[in-house]
Amino acid sequence: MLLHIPQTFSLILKSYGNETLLYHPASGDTLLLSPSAVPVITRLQEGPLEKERLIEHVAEVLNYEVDESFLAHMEEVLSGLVKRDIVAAE
Amino acid sequence: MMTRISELDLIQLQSQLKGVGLYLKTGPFSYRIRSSVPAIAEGLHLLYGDSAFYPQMDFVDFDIRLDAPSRLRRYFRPKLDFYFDHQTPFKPLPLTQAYAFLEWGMNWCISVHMNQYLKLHAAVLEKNGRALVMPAAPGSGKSTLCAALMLRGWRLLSDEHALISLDDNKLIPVCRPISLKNRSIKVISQFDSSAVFGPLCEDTHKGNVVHMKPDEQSVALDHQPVTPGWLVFPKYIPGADTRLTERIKETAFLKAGDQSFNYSLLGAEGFEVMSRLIEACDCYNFSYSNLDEAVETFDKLSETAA
Repeated sequence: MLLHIPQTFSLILKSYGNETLLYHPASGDTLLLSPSAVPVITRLQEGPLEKERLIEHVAEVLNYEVDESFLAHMEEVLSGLVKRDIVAAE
Repeated sequence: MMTRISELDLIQLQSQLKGVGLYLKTGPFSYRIRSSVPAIAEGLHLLYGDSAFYPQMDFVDFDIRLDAPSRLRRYFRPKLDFYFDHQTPFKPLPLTQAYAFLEWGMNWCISVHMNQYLKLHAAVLEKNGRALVMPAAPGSGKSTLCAALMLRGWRLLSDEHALISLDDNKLIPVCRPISLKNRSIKVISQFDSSAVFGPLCEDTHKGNVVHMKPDEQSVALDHQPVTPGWLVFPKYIPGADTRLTERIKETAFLKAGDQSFNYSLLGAEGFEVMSRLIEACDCYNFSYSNLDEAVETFDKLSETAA
């Protein structure tokens, strides 16, 4: 599954050092991102990526092991982002 | 030489209100107010006494009138309508609530219009050149704290609206009376006997309401914007110790957004302006029950102004 950020709008990220806020121009929503959603967005802003590679990238950034619980957590994070139209899946 | 509203006698002011109207400028906004209700004239004379009197204006932002909806309603269970540009956006209220109705209507004018600013429901005061912005939901003790700080020398920018310039992020003053409700009225009158109150409006949907006069210096500086300094979320808790605790900026952002009238409407620009406000401010939660201690805490905080 290829994941990407729709090109019709540009997401705005803001961090003051603790957590990260996301402004989603399409919906007008402002969201406080979970720590594992931040590397998803920043990586996909560089270009589309296969889901498995993306999960490996997030694990590397956060220094986590890719085990079952991490995979389940990332499924939840990614489906949340897709549901909010922040990330698109093909 | 500027004529102040207090220099008119009450009969002159009543006649102005019944005739062409009273032209009033508060911060960047101008109103024309018309009414034949004596309590409106008395309240304006007392509470806006330090504001400039304008015999005429070429342009006003808000043209408002408060009067009985019909001749019958002047005498039988007397009620008032609030007219804004000849429309009546609210249901009529009892004549006994006339002055509060005027102030609420004036607030509404700013809240639903004037989107050239990012607007928060917040009290704003200034000391040592920095603005203290206190966004809060009704019932949090915001206005009581705001009144106490003004009475102890802080400059009042607003009890109700933080207007943030989209250009330079400064806080724009709109210095008008402070609304006090129920127990706060007694608390503030005991806190400082020099507090000046307008007409008491009883049994409103908010309980008993009075408005307190802003101090002369705050009114005189009503045209001078202020650089943001502190964003504080106040909470009155009976019996609580005075406590000022740092708050992380990301959640302060979201909470301030919740108290905004037009954050969503402004879209990405609203996000950018709010971001700059948060960046410029130290953010805190504040809980209190003792006003003297609260004022002392904020006085100390003001010493941190760069």
